[in-house]
Amino acid sequence: MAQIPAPQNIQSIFLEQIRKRLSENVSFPDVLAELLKISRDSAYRRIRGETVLSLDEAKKLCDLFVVSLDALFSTSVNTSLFHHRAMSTSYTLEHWLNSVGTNLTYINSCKQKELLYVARDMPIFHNFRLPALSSFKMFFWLKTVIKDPTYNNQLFQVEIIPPQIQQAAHKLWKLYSSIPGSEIWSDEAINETLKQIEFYYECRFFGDHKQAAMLCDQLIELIGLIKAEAEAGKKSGGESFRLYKNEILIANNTALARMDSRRIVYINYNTLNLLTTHQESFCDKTEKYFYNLSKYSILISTSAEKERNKFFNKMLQRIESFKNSLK
Amino acid sequence: MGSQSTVPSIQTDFLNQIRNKLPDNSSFADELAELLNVSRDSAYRRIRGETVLSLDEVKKIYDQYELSIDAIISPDSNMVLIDHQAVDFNFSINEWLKSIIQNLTLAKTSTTLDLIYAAKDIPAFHYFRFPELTTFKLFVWSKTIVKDPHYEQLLYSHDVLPKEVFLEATKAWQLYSSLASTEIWSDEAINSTLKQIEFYYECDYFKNRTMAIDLLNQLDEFITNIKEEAAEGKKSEGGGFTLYQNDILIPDNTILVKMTDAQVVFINYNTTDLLTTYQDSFCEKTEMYLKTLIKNSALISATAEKERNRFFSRLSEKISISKQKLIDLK
Repeated sequence: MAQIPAPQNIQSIFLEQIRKRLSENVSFPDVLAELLKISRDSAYRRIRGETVLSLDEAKKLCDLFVVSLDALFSTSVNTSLFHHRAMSTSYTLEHWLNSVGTNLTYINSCKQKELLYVARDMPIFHNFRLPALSSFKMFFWLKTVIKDPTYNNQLFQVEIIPPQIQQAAHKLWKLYSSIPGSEIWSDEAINETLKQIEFYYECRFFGDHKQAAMLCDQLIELIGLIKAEAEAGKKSGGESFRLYKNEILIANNTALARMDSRRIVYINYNTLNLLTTHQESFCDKTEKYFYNLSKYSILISTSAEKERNKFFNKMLQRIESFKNSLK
Repeated sequence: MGSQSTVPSIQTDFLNQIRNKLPDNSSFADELAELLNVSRDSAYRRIRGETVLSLDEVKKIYDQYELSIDAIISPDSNMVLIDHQAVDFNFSINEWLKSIIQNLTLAKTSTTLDLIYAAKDIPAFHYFRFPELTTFKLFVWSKTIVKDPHYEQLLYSHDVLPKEVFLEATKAWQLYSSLASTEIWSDEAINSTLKQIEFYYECDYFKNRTMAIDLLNQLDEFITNIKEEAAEGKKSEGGGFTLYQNDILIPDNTILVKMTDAQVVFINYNTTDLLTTYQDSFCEKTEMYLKTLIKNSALISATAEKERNRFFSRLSEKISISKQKLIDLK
């Protein structure tokens, strides 16, 4: 695209933000003309600032490209625009899975990609790896967290989650495994799941009491798989996998995706809520936070066999002792 | 510009909403003319939608009336504007405490107040009445989390903090303690403090190792104290105290404050950073989540003595285990 002399007004800053969201091989004036249903000439005039962009037009662009006028106008460098996805009875589990799937597919489509992950709880995708554990987590969310009336009087069984939801979840796990990643885990990564199994056991929400022990076995299997992958330094899809452990500094679940020339931060908070932002300043802070944290953590993938064993064995012991307490 | 003859509906709607915010007797056209530095006629043309408002003009309106343009033009969007306050070298612990005090003072002036705190970690305010615990928490934040270079070479001792920081912390506790709060804790809420003490012990960051034991003893005292407050349903400065125990979901530290004419959500991020938003739809979703969390919790303040004793015994037990660990390490 020809160099456009940029008058430093807000319209040109706004349009520049939109232009940055497009891939490099498309023509911005063409896209603008098509979206706003105006001629190519009129699009150029808006870009050059000769024609004023109306609020209606601005809204269309804001909605399509997820840009905020408030963020544009605000002078505070601490203000960032986030997209918010909260699972609820109206925004269903299936929606949520598909929408996260779209994000992961996009990351996967980039040439260069990396997922940095700070994990208080085991990254959510691992739950979708083994069928019974996957069903249990989703059933728990539906019945206890969202309180979906469909599951009100139901007891847990593996088949209770419809196959298309199981598949959507499994796909997330597959997508996650094909993105190279660096992760920093706390040793509390499995605590929440254990508490949830315990709660259902005590409330007699299992169709069959043996399912609690069976879920513990799956969790043990899962930890074994992740441990082997950490040792190899490779995710199951063959992509690189760096794992750090940190015992005192992790308080949240945060992921930063780094792609070709773009970054996105995902904050997973309060179980099923996702806050997402592209904002440069926030991505910067998060990336810095990640690298700082990794400095104060211990790398337990490929090397540090002793530390790796200590880390995973502590989790395995916790699961075993819980499993033994079930009888 | 003559080609844009259709009335931009959003512009009209937008300006109408702003007009509705003004006192009835003021002339909106006059005010707009003055703000945008255009003639009264031109202002009218904008209100009627005959002249297109430029984004520069929209910004002037935004600056003047302090309202969310996003909320007006895309009310159904899932976008939320969040303020991110990070404690770092430019924003010290002292300033952080001051801004917390400011927020609490604001909450206190509201005629109605609903404060719900979902706590992954025990709300720090509670620690702030115990001098050594306060010093330790703030020291760990400065040295290990914020990595303030000033603290890099310092070891912990009970008097390591500047007096003024300490006074601010006390003030924050007093204010918090005078407000009614509903809190949701799990028995993991004490873990991070215990881990910090153990970590500092292992790293030899205590000037004198007995100080670690002092802190654990003070934690015991803290548990006794907070248990009494839970039993009474009242904090020491008179604010109500409703405490729930939740064992199945570990939330991120989330605070919802509903005041008479505003609501705000604070999410604790990376230990000392705060994400803050006033957006209504976000606050409402957070409230829904917190209500579900409460449904999945047991009330252990004022009632349920047995459950309350059991819960606090579990916390005490964790402290004993930590003590034993430190003794074994010697």
